[in-house]
Formats: sequence, structure tokens, C-alpha cells
Amino acid sequence: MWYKFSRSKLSVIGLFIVVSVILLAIFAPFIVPYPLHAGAYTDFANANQAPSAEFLMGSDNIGRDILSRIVFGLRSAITMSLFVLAISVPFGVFMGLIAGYFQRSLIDSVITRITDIFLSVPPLVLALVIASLLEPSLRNAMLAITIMWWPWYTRLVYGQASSISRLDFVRASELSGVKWWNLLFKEILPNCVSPILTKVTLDMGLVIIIASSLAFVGLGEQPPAPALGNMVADGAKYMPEQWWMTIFPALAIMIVVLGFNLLGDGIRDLYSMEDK
Amino acid sequence: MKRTLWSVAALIGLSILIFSLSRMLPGDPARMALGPRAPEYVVEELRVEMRLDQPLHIQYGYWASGVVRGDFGRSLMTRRAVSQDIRAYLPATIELVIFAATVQVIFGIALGVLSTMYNGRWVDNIIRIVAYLGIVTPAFVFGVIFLLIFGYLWPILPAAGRLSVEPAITGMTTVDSLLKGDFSSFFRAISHFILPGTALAMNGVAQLARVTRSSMVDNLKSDYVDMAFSQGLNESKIMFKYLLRPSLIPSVSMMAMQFAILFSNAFLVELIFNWPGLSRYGVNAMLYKDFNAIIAVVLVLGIVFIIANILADTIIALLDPRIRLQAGKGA
Amino acid sequence: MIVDRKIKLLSIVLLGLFLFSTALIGCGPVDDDEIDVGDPVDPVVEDPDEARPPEDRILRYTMANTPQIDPARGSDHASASALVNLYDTLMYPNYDGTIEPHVATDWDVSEDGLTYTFNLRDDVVFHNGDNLTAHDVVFSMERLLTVGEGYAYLFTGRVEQVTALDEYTVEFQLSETFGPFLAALVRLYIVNKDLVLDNIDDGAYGDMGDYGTEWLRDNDAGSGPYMVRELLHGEHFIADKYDDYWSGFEPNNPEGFKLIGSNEPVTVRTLIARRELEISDEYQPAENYQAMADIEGVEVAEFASGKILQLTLHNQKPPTDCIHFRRAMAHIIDYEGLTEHAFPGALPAQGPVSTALPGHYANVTVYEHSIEKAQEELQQSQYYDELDNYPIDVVWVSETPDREKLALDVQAKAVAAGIQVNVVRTPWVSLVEQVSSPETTPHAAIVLMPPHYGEAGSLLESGFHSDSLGTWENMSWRDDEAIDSYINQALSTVDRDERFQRYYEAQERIMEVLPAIPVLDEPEKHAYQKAYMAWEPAERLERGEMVLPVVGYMFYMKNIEFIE
Repeated sequence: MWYKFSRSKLSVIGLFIVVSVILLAIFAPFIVPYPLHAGAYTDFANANQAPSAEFLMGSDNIGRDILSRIVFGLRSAITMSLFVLAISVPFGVFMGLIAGYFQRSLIDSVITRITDIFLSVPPLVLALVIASLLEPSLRNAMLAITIMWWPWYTRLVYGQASSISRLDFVRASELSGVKWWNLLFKEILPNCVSPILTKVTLDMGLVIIIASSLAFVGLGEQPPAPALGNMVADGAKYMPEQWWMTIFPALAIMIVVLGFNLLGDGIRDLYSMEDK
Repeated sequence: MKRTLWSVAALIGLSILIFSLSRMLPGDPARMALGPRAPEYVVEELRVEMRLDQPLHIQYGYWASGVVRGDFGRSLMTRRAVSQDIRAYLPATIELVIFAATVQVIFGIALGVLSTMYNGRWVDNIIRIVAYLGIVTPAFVFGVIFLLIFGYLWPILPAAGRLSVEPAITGMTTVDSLLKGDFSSFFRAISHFILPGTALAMNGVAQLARVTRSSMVDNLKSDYVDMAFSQGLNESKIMFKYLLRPSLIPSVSMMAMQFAILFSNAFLVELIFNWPGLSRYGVNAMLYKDFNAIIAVVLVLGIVFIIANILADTIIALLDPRIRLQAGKGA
Repeated sequence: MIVDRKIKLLSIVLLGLFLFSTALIGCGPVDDDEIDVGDPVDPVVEDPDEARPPEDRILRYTMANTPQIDPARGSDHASASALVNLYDTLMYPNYDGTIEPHVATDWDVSEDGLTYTFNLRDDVVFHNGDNLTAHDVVFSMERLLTVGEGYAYLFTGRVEQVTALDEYTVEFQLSETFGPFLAALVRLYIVNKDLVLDNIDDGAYGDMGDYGTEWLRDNDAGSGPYMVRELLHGEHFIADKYDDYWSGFEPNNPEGFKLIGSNEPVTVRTLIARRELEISDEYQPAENYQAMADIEGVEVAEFASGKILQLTLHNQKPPTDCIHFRRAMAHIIDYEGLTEHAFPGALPAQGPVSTALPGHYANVTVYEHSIEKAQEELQQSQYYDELDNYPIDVVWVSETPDREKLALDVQAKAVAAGIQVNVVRTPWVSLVEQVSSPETTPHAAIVLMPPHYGEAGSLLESGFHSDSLGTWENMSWRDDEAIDSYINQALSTVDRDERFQRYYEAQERIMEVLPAIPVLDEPEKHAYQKAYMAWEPAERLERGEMVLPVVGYMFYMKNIEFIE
């Protein structure tokens, strides 16, 4: 398996980025030069320093080390992504399985309509609306994204589940008294694993994009805790003189998302190769 | 058709949700409208006039009947009718999105074709890498980077705002300047579009280039292209007639999706470039918790979304005879 | 040279990005065309460094928001700057703090100080050609008092009756003596009665319908030197010169002005650099003023405007309802440290009234930065044992990015004293709305307190009197009889020295009970195009003369001239 995976250099790069980002996130307090700078801290005497040996990526207008804040920002971005997917994926998949299995029943139409509602407005707009109706905080941003994320999995699984549930062997085992939930989880779910897993990896990046977009507007993690999107937005006010305030966090977002996308593509290729 | 109906139902559901939320939060809209020092009797009068003394579902009823007549209520932020605001801001967004969509189509497909022509060679590889970066980079990051490069370091383009052409006819600066035959204004208007429009388009350019390339490369292997080659047809003719046209179908359905994404990403790009459009208005409304404006923006975008989907379905049907046939049968 | 190094670094970092962007953009021939046409046509792009007046002679300035141009509603800086140009007033405030007659020619004050009789000029003509008469003055005052917003509070409860004795004589009957009445009259904008009556809609004001509020939202009924061309809420406000203005113009006064209702730092700086903006707003971050001052021909003027940056505390909500907690907060703030790096040009506030404002109390109690003293105070607080359960929200207005520095500094220092602080960014309009009720008012908010006329009483009344509770200027929800009575006594005292004595007492009381913590005595900074404009307040500043601008008059267009 690893052999197949490692044949694609890009996938390996993706894996490398993802693993190092996750390690950075876990060990952030021990790695970064100024862990205090990610919290309530001000040092106006050292504000607006260009990148130097002291501040590798410069300091912001409050005098905080950009590098330390980026690493902590990555940490919250990753946590957020994991959280969002940990809730929305199982929930969405379950909904999709049920709706697909009980085709043309009341449950099916209710679930499908609800997903339609969520999918009828552009996702970012919906997340912005939900997040803005609540008080701005990391938790509410996660909530907003979770609420709008699960329908995509429902839709993804729905087609698969409905086509499998129509197969003869499923109908047969149903007649022979096998309980529907056993069928759902033992027969239908395993068939959906590969698209789900691929989507999850790709979505790690997408959630980070949406989350940083929310933070860009000011609806994510609240100061002084660093959020990458917020850092980009704040820094943009001081361009071009203090370019480092905005460019480095922007690059960080790009690289993380790139990592997850490369990895996701790698996993997809892996599965499609296996299918063949 | 059915899908459209459900989308409309979805929008109604969403409006009920936001409406009830807005009325349940603390705060007195009448007092807000008049200000803290306004006499109490005047506030009371307005409260009755705004029907704030009635139960929620009746308030919603009045509100909804207003919406049908194009009356979304008053904006807290601008203190005037939301419908007026929408009329003022929507053209700028539509214009920007159309500009971005045009950039997407031209560059996305051009890059896709280029990539196919040089399949496997360095041009192809560079385009693929660039497309990849385009996909993983959020629009606001492009916005910030473009602003820095072309707005400051190499300041060749207007970095903020939009040209105002007076008097406004359609509210779209390019159209207005053309209608008046004022070409210098037209070109200046266009120059204001380049940075925000391109930042907005980048993601779609990348997606489209990828999709176009992959479907063209797939079709390259098909029998009819082989046959065309074997008949010794001109290469560019094969490229465009036999390869590009059938390969466009996935690209077009992609475009419909992209159109919606353009509207969402416009939310951030307009903020960066200080573009006086509906999305910036929407973001501000959200930050200000200006509920009438929020609902209106969501509804308008939802409708645009629905229209875009219908259009895309129609175009796909026109391009692909098989689907057209099926649709005919279904109907 | 530092700049060079920075740019070099930047170039290296950006090289990769640059290549990839240009690769994408440079691919198609179409793009080159676009750049070519954009280049020569746009006159600004042509030669961005050349400083010269705009061809249409329209002066542009930024503000945090678009104005409310209804004289019975607007009172913030943007609104005031528009109103002073659209409307005439009986009196006019000079930059040295004195007042001179404007539409009034002369006046009489009765022995008891309760009756003021003004004679009016007979040559003042409204924008629509009507003559300005005493009836318009009466109508304007009545309308202002009824609608009750904007500057109404200056007159509410004081002006009992206004009568037109004849066409050009108007009499104000006061219910109590009001020392700064003449000074306050610079806020009575005279509207054209007939025009407003012609444009009345249905509304909540009985006979008067909506009192013209709907129409006056977007139109003017004034006689001022400029008149409304267009108000696009949230975008801009444009006014044109009123050529028949009674006191005439200098030849180089602006032909009009455009107030841009958005002050995004990047936009403001770009516009200044491109000579597309003549005067910046006062809310730019320190970094931005620095950057703008470096632009050729641009100067940053710092006016001692009499404004105080303060942290208003909610005196009814736990834990800021506890005086010891509030005093602890006052000790937490690092006044000296803030002025040193974060707010260059500012000074630690000496009480709630700026040292620049007549009526400032020189011996007022001030709090020093000391975490120890803060902790001593906290120990006396009822919340001492459960500070963790009482985090406080410190709100800063999102249109004023520099104030985040103060909020974050308060937060960082508060942690050291054991107080949990949430820094909250709130748009201006939302804050104004939140503070209208005690339930939604935050624990603490950073606001800049402006005097509405040139005396301590203005600021004390709008910021600390219980009548102004629920406005952004007084969101303390402190109903303090002592403060009220000092202010009332002061304002009804005609004798200046005695009035000032009451002002002093009010200031001392405020520092004792702390409805708000005065933090910085902040200069009002504006970047402006010195190379091609003569701006009177800035020129006075340069000559070392006093500039005590009444809010809005800094932008009185007749005091601005373009220079070739």
C-alpha cells in the first residue's frame, strides 16, 4: 500500500506537510520561540519589526512574534477542522445511509429536503450568516461550519446507499430477517468508505479555508488568540510597509490546504487503483 | 423544475429561521430606529406601526407580504429601505462576478487547452502546478497578494474602489459608460475590475483548467478523435471541433457551480478591495446584526443561485443532445 | 534605508508568488491589452507623485461612516462636518474658542438671563431661494426638541419657548439660566420651514407627520455655503457649492466636497498617495499616519482637539458595578507605556476633561499604573474571590483599528491582576444600538469623547449627566445625583469663574466614582495634502495659534482653499 502511495511524489509531499503541520500543532507550546505571544501579551516597543533573527517572520503592530502566532493559528485551524469533521461526517453519513435505505419513505423525503435547504445557498454565505447570528467565537464558528457541512456527506452517501439497498442480496437478507441497521453498517457503509475517506482528507483543507474566511471577517477565534484569517485581515491594514504581517499567515493557509489536498488526491488515486 | 421549487422552499425556510432569530434577540427595533433620546410616545407609535406588538407569526406574515412587493424593511446600518440598498449595491457585484466569470472562461479553458496541447511536457506541468495552487488558495489570500503586488510594489492598477459613472443608468459602470459612448470611462472602469476580478476568478480558472484538461485528455483517447487524426485532419481543427466541444460539457456544469462560488467569495474580495457591492454590504450587515439586510442579501443570492442553476442546466442541455433527449422524455 | 531593506526582503519572499501570479496572468495576450489601456487613460496612474488640486475642485475627505444630514439627528463627527456646511446657525465658533454672530446680527439678554432676543440678517437665502426668517428659526428649534436626537440634548429642558417677534427678530425663553447658551447655538441648524412642511410624510409626530425626517435623511433644507448633491449611505456624501451664499466665497474655495464614509487604512493611504484624497479621517492607526507623513507633499497635523479617549464602564453590571473593581481597572491601565509607543502624540488623560478645553480642572485626582494598587483595590471588592467567574468584555469600535492596541493592552495587564478580559470588536452602529439599554451595554467600551462646544460643560453633560444615559457618550448607566447637580449648577451659572468651579467639582466627583476611566488626551490627527491646499486650522497650528475646533468645523469648506 505504502509502495503504491509513495509512487506519487506529490502525495508524499502532501503527507509530509500534513504530518509536520500536525506535529507543529501538537507541540506548538514547546517549539515556538515566544509561546506567550499567542495569548494576552503586548509589547509596543517591539512592534512592527521586520523579519530578523529575533523575530523570524517579523512582529505585528502589537509587538508579537508572527511565527509563534502562525503556529498557534495552525493549531486552532487543525483542531477546528478535526472537530467539524468529527461531528459532521458521522452525522451526515448516518443521515445519508438512512435516507438511502428507506427510499421514498417519509424519512427519506424529510432528510433530502433538509439537505436541499442547506445546499441551496452558497456554503460560505450560509456559514457567515449562522456565525454572525451567534456571538463571534471559535466555538460558534465551528458550530456554523458543522451545521452547513454535514449535508454534503448525506448527499455523497445517499446515492451509494440507495443503489446498494436495491441490490438483490440486500433485499434477500432483509427477507431472511437480518435487521436493517445491521445491513446499513455491515453491508452498505463499507461500500462508501473510500469516497468518504477521500472527501474527508480534501475537506480538512476546505474547512480550513472556510474557517479562515470566517476569521478574516472577524467571526472566528477572538483576540488575543491567533487565527490565520484574522491575521491576514489585520495585516492587510498595514500593507505594504508591514507586509510580513499578512503575507506569512496567508502563505501558511496556502501550504496547509495544499498539504491536505495533495494527500487527499493521493488517497483517491490509491483507492481508484485498488478498484481497478 | 422540481429542484427549483425545493430551492425556493428552502429559501423560505431560511428566511423564517433568520426572521425568528432576529426578533428573539434583545433590542427594540423601534427604539433603535429613533434613537435613545427620542420621546417615548413617538417610540410607542412606531412600535405599533412596525407591528412589534403582534405575535411573531403575524409579524412574519406582514414581513413576507412586504418582501413579495419588494419591501424588505429598513436597514439598521444605512437607515434606509433595504430594497433601495440592494438596488444600489447589487449591480456592482453582478458586474464584478460577470467579469470574474469571463476571466474564468477565457483563461480556464485556454489553460486547459494549452495543457492538453502540451500534454506531459513542461508547459503542461507548470499549468497543472499553478492550477493546483489556484485551487488550494482562498480568494481573499489572492486578493491580499494581488493588492500588495499590483497595488503597491508595482502599482499599475487601481487598488481600491470602483469608478463611479454619472449619471448611473444601470448602475454597472462598464455598461453605463458604453451606453454613453464614453470609452475612456469604460477602460478606466475595466481597469478597476482587474485586481478584484482576477483575485475572485483565480479559483475558478484553476478548477476549469483542470476539468477542461482532464476531459480533453480523456476524449483524446476516444475513437472518433483517432479517426479524425487518421483522416489527416488539421490538428487545430481537431483540437477545437472534435476535442474541445464535447469536452466542454463538464466545464459548463462546473461553471454553474463556480458562479455560486464566485458570489460567496465576492464576500471577502469586495471587503479587501473596498468594492461597493452587495457582498460587502452583506458582510457589514452581518457584523452589524442588521437582520433585514441579512435576510435580503441571503434571499437575493439564493435567487441568483437558483437562476444560475437553471441557466447551467439549459446550456448543458443545448450542448449535449443526449441530455436534451432525456429531458424531452422526462417532461 | 530601513525601507530599502524591508522592500528587498519582501521581494525575495514574494518572488515565488510573483512568478506564479505573472505566469498565470501573463499567459494570455488579452491581459496585456487591458493593462495598456488602463495605463494612459487613468490620469492618476499616469503620474502618481504629482501633487495638484483635483480638476473638479472637489475636496475629498474620509470619515468612519457616512453622515446623518438631518439636523435633528446627526451629531457624530461625519454628520457634524456635513451639517456645518449645509446649514447656517445663529452663531459661529472661531478656532480660538470665541463665538461670533453669524445669521444673528446682535442680541439682548434679559436681566434674569432667561430671555434672549436675536436680530437676524435679512439677506440669508435658502438653497431653494426662500428668505431665511425668524419663523424658520422657531420651527428649527421646535423640530429639534420634538425629534429629540442629535444635538437636541443641549436645549431639551432649557429652552421653554421660541417666538418670532417679527420677520427678523426671534426670542428664546429659557426655563433656567444656561451659561453656555450662545456657544450651544452653534448647534441649532436653521431649516427652511416651508420646504420641510412641503415634504412631510406619515409618521409618529401627530400633526407634523414624520416631521420631514424621511425627506431630510437624504436632502437638505439649509442655507449653508454647500448643498446636497448625493448621499449614498455607507458609501459617500457629495455636496456642491451654493454660489449665492450670502457671505460669498474666496476664489479658491472648493467647488464641492465629497465625504467618503469608509476609513479602511489601506484605502485611505492609497487614496492619499494617489492624490485622490485631500484630508484623512482622525481614526487611522499610528503606523498609517507615519506612512502618510512620508509621502511627498503630505503632512500630518495634530490638533489638541479637546478629545479624551476613555474606557466607559457599566456601573450597574457585575463586576464593574463595584467601585473597587472600577478603581482596580483604573490602576491596571499603563498610561505612560501607551503614550510612549502605541499612541505617539497622546498624553495620559488628566481627568475626564482635556487639558485643552476651558474648564479643565488642573488638580483633579488621577490614577497611576500599578498592578499592586489594582490588587489592593480588588481585595476590597465583593468579587475578589470569584474573579474567574466575572470576565469582562472590553469593546473597541471596529472602524478605529488603533484602539485595539489599547484593548489588548488592558487585557494583557488585567491578566496580571487576575481579571479576565475579552476583547470584543464591534462596529460603530452596533455599539450605538447596544448602549441604548443597560442589558445590552458591554462592561467596558473604548470611546473618544468630543466636546460639542468649546467648554468643559459640553463634554461633562453629554458624557456624564444622567439625561444622556443610553447614548454612546454616556453608556455608564450611572445615575449619579452629585454629578448631575454639579453639572446642572454649572450650566445654569452665567458667571464664568463660578461656573468653572462647578465644573471642577463635577470632574473630581467623576474621578472618585469612575463612570468611566479617562485614558488618553488624544490629539486629533489628520493627514492632508499640504502641497496644494491651504487649510486654515492646520495653518493656525503651524503659526502656533490656538486651534480649538468645535466638532465638524475643521471641515468648514470656506476655510479651505486650493493652491495651484
